[in-house]
Amino acid sequence: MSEEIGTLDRRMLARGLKIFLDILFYLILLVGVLLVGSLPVSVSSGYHDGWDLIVPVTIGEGSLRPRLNLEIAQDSQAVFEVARIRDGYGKLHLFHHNLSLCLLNAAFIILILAVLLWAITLLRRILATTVGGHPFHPSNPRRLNLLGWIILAASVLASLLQYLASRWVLTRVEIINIPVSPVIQSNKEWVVCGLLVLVLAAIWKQAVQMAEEQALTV
Amino acid sequence: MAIHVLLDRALLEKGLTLTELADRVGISLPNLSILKTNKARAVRFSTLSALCRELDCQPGDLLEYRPDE
Repeated sequence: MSEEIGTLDRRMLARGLKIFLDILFYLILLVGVLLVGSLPVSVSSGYHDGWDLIVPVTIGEGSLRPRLNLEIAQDSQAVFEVARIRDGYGKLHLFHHNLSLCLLNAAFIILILAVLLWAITLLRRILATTVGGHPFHPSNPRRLNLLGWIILAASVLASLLQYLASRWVLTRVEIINIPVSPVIQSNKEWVVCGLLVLVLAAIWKQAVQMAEEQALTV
Repeated sequence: MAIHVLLDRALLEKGLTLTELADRVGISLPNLSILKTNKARAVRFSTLSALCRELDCQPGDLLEYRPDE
């Protein structure tokens, strides 16, 4: 009896999660459609006024561990002698009239949305089988495995693209008052998350094999 | 699978249908059908013993090893 209630609870939880993911999926789809739809308007209106470009940078010298030495006023009461900012990250907000750069930026955002939709679709399919009472469907470990690789690839590629983009921008703009450097962010949390998902997928694969064995035991 | 279940022969000898055997043994017809068509991955001792009881035979009369080609 309590086992049945537990199964029911788990199915309710899966159903709730699926509804949440369904809403998220259609919201992202709507944002993507609006973005693509508004692109011609944005391009034509911004042709004269210019477009925004936001690039992550580090404040100070160095991409991995940026540091910026500060000048402090020395007087007889001073306790501290040296001051510096370490690990300073920020977003460089630029304004430009380059159409191809604007389109590249939009394409990059659309690509991110597409990857997000792909990942959410995989999760929705997994939850759909769980809600239907078949969590050990053979496709589920494959879907989870694919999701793990998507997370891993996206986190590594995002770091690389972020670095290349900020480096490309910083070679084309000379900032005089504060030293800024291209950013290298490791996204280690996402890499660990991707690896965990891959491990879970491998365990799930074993569970599917066991469930098949169980189903064919008379 | 190299192990073959000879349920067909046993049923013929006893003049029973699969449905009748399923009723007597207390196994669902789909499960017994899985066993008969050699799709089963494993057989419980309790199932085997119920089959032997109802068919009045030994486990060796129901199972046969044929090497895979």
